[in-house]
Amino acid sequence: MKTYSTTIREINAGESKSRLRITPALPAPAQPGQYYRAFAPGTAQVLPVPLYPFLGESDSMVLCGNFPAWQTSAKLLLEGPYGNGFSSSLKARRLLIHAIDESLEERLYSLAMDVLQASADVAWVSEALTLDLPPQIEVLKETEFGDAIQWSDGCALAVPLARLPNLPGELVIKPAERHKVEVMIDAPFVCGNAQCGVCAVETRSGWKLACKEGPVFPYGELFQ
Amino acid sequence: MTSEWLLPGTNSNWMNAAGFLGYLPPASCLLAEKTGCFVTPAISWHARKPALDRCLLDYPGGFLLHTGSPNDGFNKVIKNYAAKWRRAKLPVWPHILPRNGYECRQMVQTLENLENIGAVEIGLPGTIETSLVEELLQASMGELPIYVSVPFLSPWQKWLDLLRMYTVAGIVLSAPRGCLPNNGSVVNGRLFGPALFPQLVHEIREFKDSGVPLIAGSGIFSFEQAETALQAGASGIQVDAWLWQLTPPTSPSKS
Repeated sequence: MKTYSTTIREINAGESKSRLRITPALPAPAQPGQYYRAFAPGTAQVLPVPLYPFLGESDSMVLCGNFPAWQTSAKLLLEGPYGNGFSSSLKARRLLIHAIDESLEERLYSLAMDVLQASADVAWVSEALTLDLPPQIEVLKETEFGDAIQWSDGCALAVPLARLPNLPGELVIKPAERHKVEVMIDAPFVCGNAQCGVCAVETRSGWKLACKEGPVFPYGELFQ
Repeated sequence: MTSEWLLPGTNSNWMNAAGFLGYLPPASCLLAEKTGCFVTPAISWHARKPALDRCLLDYPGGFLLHTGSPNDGFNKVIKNYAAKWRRAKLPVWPHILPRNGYECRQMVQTLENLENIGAVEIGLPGTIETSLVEELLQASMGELPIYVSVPFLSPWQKWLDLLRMYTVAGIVLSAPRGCLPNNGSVVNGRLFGPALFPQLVHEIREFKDSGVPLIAGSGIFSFEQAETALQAGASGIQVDAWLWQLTPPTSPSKS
């Protein structure tokens, strides 16, 4: 896995406090759902943290995630991209997006932008939206999720690992709709595929490591 | 001043700690040419599932990791990796987690028949009965050097007579245990990070003359710290979470 040396140009690039802009843009940008391990050498940081693509520009990149108190102008090492992102089949004509925990909404933003660029429709379910979305994206209430998923032909969810077992109870998805749902799991991705096991996910075909075989899984692989 | 004396079963006295590099030696890592052997993740006789409350919790100077040491069980691990270990450039130290003498004997005897196994590292919880420690040591006796890995700061010193009697090749002072709150409950896990370094050096100094070589197995996050641990009396170095940190690429933009 390649390591890239970058510089932090801006922190809190948006309204959220968990974004940063780096230069240069990386030659192998992460796909929506994939992540980089990020580490600022010479700081008190002990472990790398996962950073996710938010916005790519020609000469810089905006990444998001929960990161330590880094400073602008600091060197930032990035390794990756790691994992499996959202599948191309999800770049549907009508995409529905929903983060079970609002702090994860940023991680779905790059997917929405990719889909919009392909002239598809995007609907975003959120009770308390944490992002500035373009006007083309329709924002819906959680009570509208059931109707929205029927309308969609692809659905991207983001969920913290600890809440994954309760997902079917928290969000009712009819069996006929499940094939078009992909779930991005938020877990600590620190070991760089050393199989530490902290991100292990129970799937229908056994335990899998979200850092390597995820973080995005088809809904049907996780639940019946 | 560092010791030139080589621990049994390794090409140098530097190595990774169990569980920090996966099941196979990586093509490159922070330690590079310093590494003298490869220590596997913990392997139990039966398969172990991940802990239900698995988590990683940060605290100043380190983190708590609780995973339940998930693995596929000894036989499946051997089936998957024995051939690859045989071809590895470094001798392999399987880190085993036997619960009784029978499991220990089965695992050690199987490992004795594999190629390129340099030693066996037995993970001992700090709280087990002395009688079980003796049972495990007795069962492990054979052709391979045996190391025991104990959480430092635990009362492992009460087993010193046994460890000497069974001519254990070394004691790995590995990550101690601790507790932190998480989601309304308290999680017990292993502690890692540079904040442990002063306590590690203290323990090495206290037991350096115990008659069993000590391997500094936690809290090392720089070559200077490793040198300090060696000067304090450690015979070897195991590196844990330092291996997960990223190092700058060798070329300006990428490695």
